[in-house]
Amino acid sequence: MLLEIRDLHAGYGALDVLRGISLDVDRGELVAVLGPNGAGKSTLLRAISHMEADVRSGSIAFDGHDLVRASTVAGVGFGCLHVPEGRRLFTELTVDDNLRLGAYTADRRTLDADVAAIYERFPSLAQRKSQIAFSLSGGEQQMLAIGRALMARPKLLMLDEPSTGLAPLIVAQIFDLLADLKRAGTALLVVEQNAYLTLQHADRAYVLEGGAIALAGTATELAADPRVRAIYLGGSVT
Amino acid sequence: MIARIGADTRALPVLALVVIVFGIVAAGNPTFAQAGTYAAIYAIAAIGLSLLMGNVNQISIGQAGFFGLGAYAVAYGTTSWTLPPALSWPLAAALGVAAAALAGLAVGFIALRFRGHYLAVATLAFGLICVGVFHESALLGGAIGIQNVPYPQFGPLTISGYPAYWFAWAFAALAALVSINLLRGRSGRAFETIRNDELAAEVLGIPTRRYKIVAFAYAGALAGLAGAIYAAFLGIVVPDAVSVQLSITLLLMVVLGGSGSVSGALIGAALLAIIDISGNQFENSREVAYGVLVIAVVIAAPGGIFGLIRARINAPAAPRRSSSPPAEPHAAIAPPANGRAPLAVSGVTKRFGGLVAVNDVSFTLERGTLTSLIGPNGAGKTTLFNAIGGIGDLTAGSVTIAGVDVTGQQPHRIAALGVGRTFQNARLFGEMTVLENVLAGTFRRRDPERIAVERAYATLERLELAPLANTLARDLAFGDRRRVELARAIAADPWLLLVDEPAAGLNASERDRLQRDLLALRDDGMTLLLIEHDMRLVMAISERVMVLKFGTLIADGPPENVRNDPGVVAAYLGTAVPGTATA
Repeated sequence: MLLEIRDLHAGYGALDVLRGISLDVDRGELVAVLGPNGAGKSTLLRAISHMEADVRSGSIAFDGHDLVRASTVAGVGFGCLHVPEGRRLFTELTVDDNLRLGAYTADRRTLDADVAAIYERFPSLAQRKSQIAFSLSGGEQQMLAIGRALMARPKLLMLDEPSTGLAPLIVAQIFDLLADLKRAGTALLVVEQNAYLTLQHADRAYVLEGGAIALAGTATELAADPRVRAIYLGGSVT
Repeated sequence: MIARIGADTRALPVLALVVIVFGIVAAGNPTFAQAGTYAAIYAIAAIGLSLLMGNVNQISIGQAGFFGLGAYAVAYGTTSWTLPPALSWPLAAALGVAAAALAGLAVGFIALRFRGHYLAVATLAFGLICVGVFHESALLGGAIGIQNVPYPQFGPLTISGYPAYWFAWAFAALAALVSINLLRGRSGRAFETIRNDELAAEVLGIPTRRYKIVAFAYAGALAGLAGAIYAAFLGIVVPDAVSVQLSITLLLMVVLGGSGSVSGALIGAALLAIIDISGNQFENSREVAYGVLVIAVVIAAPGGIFGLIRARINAPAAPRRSSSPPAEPHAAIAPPANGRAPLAVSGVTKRFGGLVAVNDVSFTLERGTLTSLIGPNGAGKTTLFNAIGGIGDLTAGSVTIAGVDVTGQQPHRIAALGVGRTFQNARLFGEMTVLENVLAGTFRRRDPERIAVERAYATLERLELAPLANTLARDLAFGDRRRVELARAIAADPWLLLVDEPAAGLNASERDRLQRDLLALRDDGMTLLLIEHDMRLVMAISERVMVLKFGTLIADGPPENVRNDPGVVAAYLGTAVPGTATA
């Protein structure tokens, strides 16, 4: 297993959010984390990458490293990359600078080649490489956020709501891109609101509710499971 | 009384004793008496600045401007008017204080538009403008200022030298007493809530803008009074004496002593006056000493010197319930008398730049019902709540509460109509106890203190929070924080309650409690509008559910209908896009 989480408890200050999460991601897998607002999906990613959330107990093993004790920066060095909700680009810097900053922990000798590879993958970014990130469209910003993370040559890419605020066509492009990355061997852990679309592309999924895993299974099983809908919208399973 | 102010009040008699003993000792020592007089003069100005910085979170690097207004009023009045000496100083001083208070009012208005560094620069500019005017005004003597300002004369007593010590301290004591009185009771609680969280204070009906302006005027008046005494004591006023240097010295006193406390201001002023006089022969080392002191205090005692002492002073007992409770502390909720709908939202639109957060939303709430507003992340739910509560301007549309058009009103005015609100992240006043938080919630009722205390206790009992009454809010467990916030919001018996994600972060038993509490409020006749993500809760308690998606209402009806609405299912679970690759 690339990522192996056992009985993870995490939260913010006095607030407990995750109450015993166990989850695995294998190499080359696309795993989705679904669930209603406030279920703890983003907190799970933030606990793995130590951004804002505090890990209380449990274990996070990543590629032979103990992430509970690792800093955010160390996690990036191990190849565990987090594309946070809202993208968090350096909005006043150019597209090119954003990408190059993504390679901060990577080998600088291959920097130019790596940037060129990203432009090849995202031709629209190549056209805008000297524009500031703020001036990009929402879809391009999301591509840039992913491209910036790819610069660190991730083994696992964690994406928090990559489809938020994007038009359906762009969302489809993003998911095609994730499928490409998966084929190239990158493991993906994707947090999404858009459950049905995500299940179309994922291998497996976990459905969170109230900080715990309510359902887990293959994407095909879950897509047909009426309990998923009951978790989102309440009520009994009909 | 708020624990922080309680400690402040208890320290004052000790400080008064120090002033008296020092005064007796200084009788034969002109240097001591002079240092003590300066301490009193500085203290008067520092008390005002301390209140401004510590209680309404406003900074001023322009206090010397107000000080200068008082000083020049006395210098000019006493040298140009032909009045008996017993009249000229009091009259000129009163004029100076009034001018400084008016200038403070004006600066306070302007300050509402600035925050943080910008406010610091704006007040600095005010100070510089004052010095510039003093410097250029021929009437005020230009660069050489006004000399030979007479000492105040009351009958046989001339206020100069040693008597000035007692004269100045009498005013300082008066300033301290008036200030401590402002910081107690209802107004003190309002100041304390603004210190803790302005927005939460505003939705309890506390007019935070007014308090800020008043604090600026008050700080200005005290600085003017200090200037008036200074001019009479020194006998000469020059522009350089009321320059930015003085503003910074006053700021240092407040930071060193501990902002937001009267005792801290007194301690800071005394400390710097002593350093000033004793360091007179080491003119250039003085600034170095100031610098070292500030660095030491900021590192070792961020709350200032009084912040260190405060912890050792026993907090006064919390207000008790009277043994014979006043009749009906918890009256039934009186709905708006005119029989109009508690809330009518019509065509409300809110744009942030190009983003339409709320798009043409209209609905009306029936009295005594519980309605939930749901929708995916970023749907605009909290933005709509803010629009109803007067936080931020609407782009279009109107909000009517019980028949009163409140569009564009400030939050405290909307609260005053009988509207309560809680926040997504339970914005409690961390430095206040649970009881004080709930007491602050009664602000808009203007009850006498005894009734307010009774009402607060009754509210705590109602939500079974009485055992936590004297716990500081910041020490509460998460679930209790939520319940205390609810108690604070209902303490004034609102008839419309807006509740933002009350179940977030609660465990199962806390959620059951919340469900019971909300239903009990509804059964009392309260109209509730709830934002909530916990669908089990929403579906279990709501009579009506409205669904917001990208700022637009896409469904509105009984829970069962909304749950099965295809548009709602798609909003929550998304839709598979036909034709794209499957895994």
